Amino acid sequence: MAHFPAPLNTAAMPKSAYRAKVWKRIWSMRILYLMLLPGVAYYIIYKYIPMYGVLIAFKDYDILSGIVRSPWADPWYKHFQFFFESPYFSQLLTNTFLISLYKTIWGTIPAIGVALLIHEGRSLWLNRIVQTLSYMPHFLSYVIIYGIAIAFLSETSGLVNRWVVEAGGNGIPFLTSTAYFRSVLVGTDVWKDLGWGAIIYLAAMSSIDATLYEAARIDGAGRLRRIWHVTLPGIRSVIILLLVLKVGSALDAGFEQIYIMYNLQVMPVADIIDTWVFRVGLEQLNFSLATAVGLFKSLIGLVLIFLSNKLARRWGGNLW
Amino acid sequence: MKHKKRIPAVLACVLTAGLLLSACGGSPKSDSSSTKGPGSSTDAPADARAEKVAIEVMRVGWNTTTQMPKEQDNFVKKTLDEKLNIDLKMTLTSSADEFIQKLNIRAAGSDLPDVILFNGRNEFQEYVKKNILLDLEPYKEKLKPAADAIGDNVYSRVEVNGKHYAISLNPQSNWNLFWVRKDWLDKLQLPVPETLDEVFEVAKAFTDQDPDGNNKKDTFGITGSLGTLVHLINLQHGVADALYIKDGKMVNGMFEPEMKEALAYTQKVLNSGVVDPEIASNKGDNAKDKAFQGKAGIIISDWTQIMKDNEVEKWKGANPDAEFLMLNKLQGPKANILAAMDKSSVSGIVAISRQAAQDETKLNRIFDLINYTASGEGSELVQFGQEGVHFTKENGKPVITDRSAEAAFTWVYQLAGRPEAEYLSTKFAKQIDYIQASEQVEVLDTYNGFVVFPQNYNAADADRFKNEEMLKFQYGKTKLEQYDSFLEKLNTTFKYQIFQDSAMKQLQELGYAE
Repeated sequence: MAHFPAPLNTAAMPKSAYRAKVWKRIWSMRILYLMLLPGVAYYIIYKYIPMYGVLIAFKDYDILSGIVRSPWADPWYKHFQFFFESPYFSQLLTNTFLISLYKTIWGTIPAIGVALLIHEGRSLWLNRIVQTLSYMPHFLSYVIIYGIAIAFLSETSGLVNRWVVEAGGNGIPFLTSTAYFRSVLVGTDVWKDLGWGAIIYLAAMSSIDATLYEAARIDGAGRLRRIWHVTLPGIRSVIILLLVLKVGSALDAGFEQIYIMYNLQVMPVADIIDTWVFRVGLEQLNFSLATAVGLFKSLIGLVLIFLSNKLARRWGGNLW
Repeated sequence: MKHKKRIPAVLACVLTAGLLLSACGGSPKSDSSSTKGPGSSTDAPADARAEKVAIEVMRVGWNTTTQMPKEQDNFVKKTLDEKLNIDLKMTLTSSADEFIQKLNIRAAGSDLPDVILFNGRNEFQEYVKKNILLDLEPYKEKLKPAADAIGDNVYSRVEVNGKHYAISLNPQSNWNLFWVRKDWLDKLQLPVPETLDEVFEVAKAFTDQDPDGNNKKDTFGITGSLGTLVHLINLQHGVADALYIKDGKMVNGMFEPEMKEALAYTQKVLNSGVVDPEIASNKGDNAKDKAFQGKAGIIISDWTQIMKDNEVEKWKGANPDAEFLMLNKLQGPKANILAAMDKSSVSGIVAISRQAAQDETKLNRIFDLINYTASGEGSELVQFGQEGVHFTKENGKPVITDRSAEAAFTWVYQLAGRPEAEYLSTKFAKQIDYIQASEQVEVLDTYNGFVVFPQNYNAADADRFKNEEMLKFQYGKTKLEQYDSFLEKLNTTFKYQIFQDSAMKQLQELGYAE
């Protein structure tokens, strides 16, 4: 079986000898490298090679000429400029950040709460049922979620509004008013992914050393104390890790959900970068613009993930 | 140990190889079956002995997409394949959005269908810009039979920059009109409305006076879509959100004084509580369901949505006493117009991809196909089905038989349109009164379709702003005094002025405006 030799002592070696030694070590672990190969191949084929398509962000992409032969955009930042000059640019950016921020906050705290409840619950069968039920909605598509939202929240026929009207109130336009739409958006998203998000926290909790709990109990800590001083610190690095990852995709506020649920009345609070790109870029065959915006998003995401990782180092939850 | 070591190695190799294969191996080239049609009939084209040519046609099939018969039962495909020595493949999508998405993906992969039937002019123009459609100018002689069957403006309606990339199909005039529950009118002893004001008086009565007699105030006056309601109100004020000729001059309705009056009227109507509160967000069949279930007494719709046999079945099923009445004449505050139609409007745009034209035999077969469906037996086949089975001839006029439902899918093969009047009077003999009545509607000619968006005008942004702000005016959330500053912002921030100037210039060049 493969074993892991001690690190190389490189300081005192001539170069050629060093190289030979490295090759020898690689050869000695060739099986491991071979097993690594599929993963590396996957990333090269599906993630790195397609990146040359980014070129069309700087070209006037023409379907028939293909990526290489399409003419360069003049000036090269033409498509970026078109995006930045849209009167809706700042609104799109604000909406994207806000929705994504809300989703991050509401996607984290309740999930941790649910994970804590399941973790602390002492009835095994109840835990299992609750866990299964709570992560089931994750597998529903947003079209179905929207259907459910209509059934409950529609102004004329929704269940909630029927109660409101029966109780003598006026129907509340949950799905068509700028005041409620983001809450509905975030609410349905939280409902969908609550149990799913809790799984990873649960896994982290179950890996906490049980002796810590015993020690805390002997020291006289009650259940809440144990949660506060043992469980939460135990999963702190996982929480931070997930947050860092989420910050990297801060400009993805969930295209699918919003595209299905929005309408003209709520555009000012619901239109995000991705839905704009879909309308302006893809529906009008402007692939260059769509790519340029995608590239812009990726760059922002990259910067954000670097910054947040740096920040996370302070709490020891950094990615690298 | 030695033995065990080999397993991960082999596994790794297999995994890697599989990955590489799946990445690089495209779909295998489909071998077009080269079996000759056994019974090539006598009137087949001259090169009948040549191989069958595979032709792919892509269009929106709506509901028919899922209702196509199996290949062996598809008598239209069989007949066309035999007569023209082709292997015809229809690629259908169930919605216009899906159509354009699929087409875009295929275009990005340079794998276009041979014949593309566009529903929307914008998409067509985009594809012309991308230079992937065949310029038909050199082939007009070959397409003459189809062009003759369609009529004079077959090419000019879809002209782009003076060039003809497609043949256009004649428009169908299914106007969205007010349909009123006649039985409710009778119950409340109200006369049939003759003016726009009366329509809304009736709507008010339908809201307040319990027309369904269940002692609950659970009905409202009007449903439909907000767009069509506003459109009708605008037209009745002699204005439309479009380019049209007023007093001999080309104008944009957005800038006409009547637009403000129409907006004020819309505000009044929307705030009077007689309109479906969800009218602005109704999707799909929402509105129709509300009307059919007796929640609303007036629906804005066209005859096909109300009077086709299966629709009648639905609302008769919900309420056997129900009766819908179409209002095809209405006097508004300023005009009696009830419909607007673009001078350039068509029911379809048939284009051929440049890829298909690289193979001359194939191109000729495509022309044969289009011409064959344009007139005579071919046209009857794609309109009504097989003679003697789905229709018979009486005095030279086709009459459908009771098996005609089996031929409901044939319309997807109408690649050169159809003679509309003949078609409707044959296929919808029961509904012919409604069809003829809706043809008497006063129509405003508009010209937007001829205009190609100028380069640096972001139509999607401008449209969103326009629609959003108009919605606020319509619901009275913005005061009408703000209308001029709204136009100002539309013109400057959203560059609508560029569109406006370009549109006028283009219409002048085409000879529609002075």
